Amino acid sequence: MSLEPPLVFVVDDDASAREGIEDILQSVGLPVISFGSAREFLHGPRRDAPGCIVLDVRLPGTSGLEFQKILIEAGIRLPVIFITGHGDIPMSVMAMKSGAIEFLTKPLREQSLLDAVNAGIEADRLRREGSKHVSELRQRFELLTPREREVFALVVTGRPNKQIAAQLELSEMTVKVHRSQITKKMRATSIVELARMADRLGLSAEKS
Amino acid sequence: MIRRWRSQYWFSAAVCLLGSAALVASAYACLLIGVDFAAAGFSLLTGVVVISTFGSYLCAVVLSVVAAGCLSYFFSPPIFSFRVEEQDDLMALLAFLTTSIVTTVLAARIRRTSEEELRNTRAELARFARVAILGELTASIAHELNQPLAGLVSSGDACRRWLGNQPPNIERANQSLERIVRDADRASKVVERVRGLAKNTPPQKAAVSVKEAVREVIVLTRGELEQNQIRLEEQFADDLPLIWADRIQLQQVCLNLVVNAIESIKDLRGGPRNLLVRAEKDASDSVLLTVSDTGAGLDSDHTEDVFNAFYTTKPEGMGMGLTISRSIIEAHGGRLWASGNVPRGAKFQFTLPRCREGAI
Repeated sequence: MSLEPPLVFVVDDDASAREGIEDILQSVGLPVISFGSAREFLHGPRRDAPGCIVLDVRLPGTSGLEFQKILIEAGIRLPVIFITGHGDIPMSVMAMKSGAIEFLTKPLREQSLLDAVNAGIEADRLRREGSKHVSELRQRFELLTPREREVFALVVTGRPNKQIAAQLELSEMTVKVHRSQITKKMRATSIVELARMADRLGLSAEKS
Repeated sequence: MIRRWRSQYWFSAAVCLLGSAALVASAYACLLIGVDFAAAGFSLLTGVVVISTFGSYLCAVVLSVVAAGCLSYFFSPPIFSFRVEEQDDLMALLAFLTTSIVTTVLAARIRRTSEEELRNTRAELARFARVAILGELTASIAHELNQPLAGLVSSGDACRRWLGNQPPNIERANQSLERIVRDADRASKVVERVRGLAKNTPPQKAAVSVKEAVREVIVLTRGELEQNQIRLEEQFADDLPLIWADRIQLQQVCLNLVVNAIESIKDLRGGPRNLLVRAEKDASDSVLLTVSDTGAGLDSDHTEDVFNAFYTTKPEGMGMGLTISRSIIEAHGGRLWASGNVPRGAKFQFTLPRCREGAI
């Protein structure tokens, strides 16, 4: 399976710095879109692709750190690589705490920038695959009937059919049929896998 | 006023003429009262010294000669003639002339030296204040220099990669090189400006574009503005006339006002953080420059106090910035004043007369 092409965003108000970064990323074949301000980015074009944001800590209007919060609130989960002219310690601590994957100082070392960007893209790709998997599971879960969902919730707690039947006031035979339906619809091969899926879907919390 | 006229030729001529007339009149008066040679000589000497304080070296010499002439004409026998018969009288006249010339020339020299020293001290003080502002802006200037350098390094790296590709991408490499040149140019301009401000050159007036000069120095504060989350708005009218000023001193005043504004906004919690720099033409065809902020503002009863020497609100401030700024603007024939900004903050404004056509 070929990998989805990545996309890197550069947000820096200074044209010299921004174009330099853009150039370096393009020279290794990475598609780049760059913006001069946080607002431009929020209103600008975005493509659904794995990527990351290279963000200047100091931006006119909104600071990079505030911008990071706005991104989180807006549900944009792209990994952030901070760059700054003055790498002061409190700022970098705050940036790392709020989830930045790297904090680089200008002028940038070419290799550290490329390493950080690649790590960011990789992290985003993994996150996207993870969430894709969950949404697939959710789709499968949607196929279950309400009764099947009830049975599912009890099956993954490890209870025997007999107990489930008693609890739901069903015959043991009916529970067995439901169970095989659930396994088929969820495309699971074992009870352990079903349990793991329930975990991913956040069902384990719902057990009574 | 007199200080400004003093360098003009017509002023020296007037001092010589009027002074001579006064000397002749007083010598004649002395004669009428019946004062003797020595007393008349003394009063003329006093007159020469007093009058020549207004004029130049040349005035001093001319007046001394005129006074000696009066003495010879009115007091040494034969009276009403420049002829001197007695050896003693001749000696007395010569002694008078020498004393008079030496005294007045010395007085003029002392005055000139002290004026020069005053001027130098002022220029030194202004330069000292400039360097002090630059010191406050070190981080900001470093930031402003670091940006193009960062771009330069990245473009250099990129250029190498474009050339290293198979096949080499010459077009993109060229674009990178163009940016390198542009960024290096930008960095060197920053250095040039800082050097201009720190350099020790005597004030030199020339026709200056306010917009250009002001923009050049505001750039140096950009790092500081960004760090403190201050929004800067610049408004320059299109019809601004050129002004006749020392560019560096004008920049110093602007820098001083902008840095003060940043200081007053810096520690605010909440509220807008805006800084406005506006230049426009005023009714009398001068340029009016306004620097207003939404900072802590001024004590409304004591807006004039901020211009006093050693008045400061900053813990590490010297309290000379505004005093020096005002003396600079006034030396340019303009005015600098402060007022409250609406709805909050302070507003500093100054005017500078336009450059007259003939002055260029």
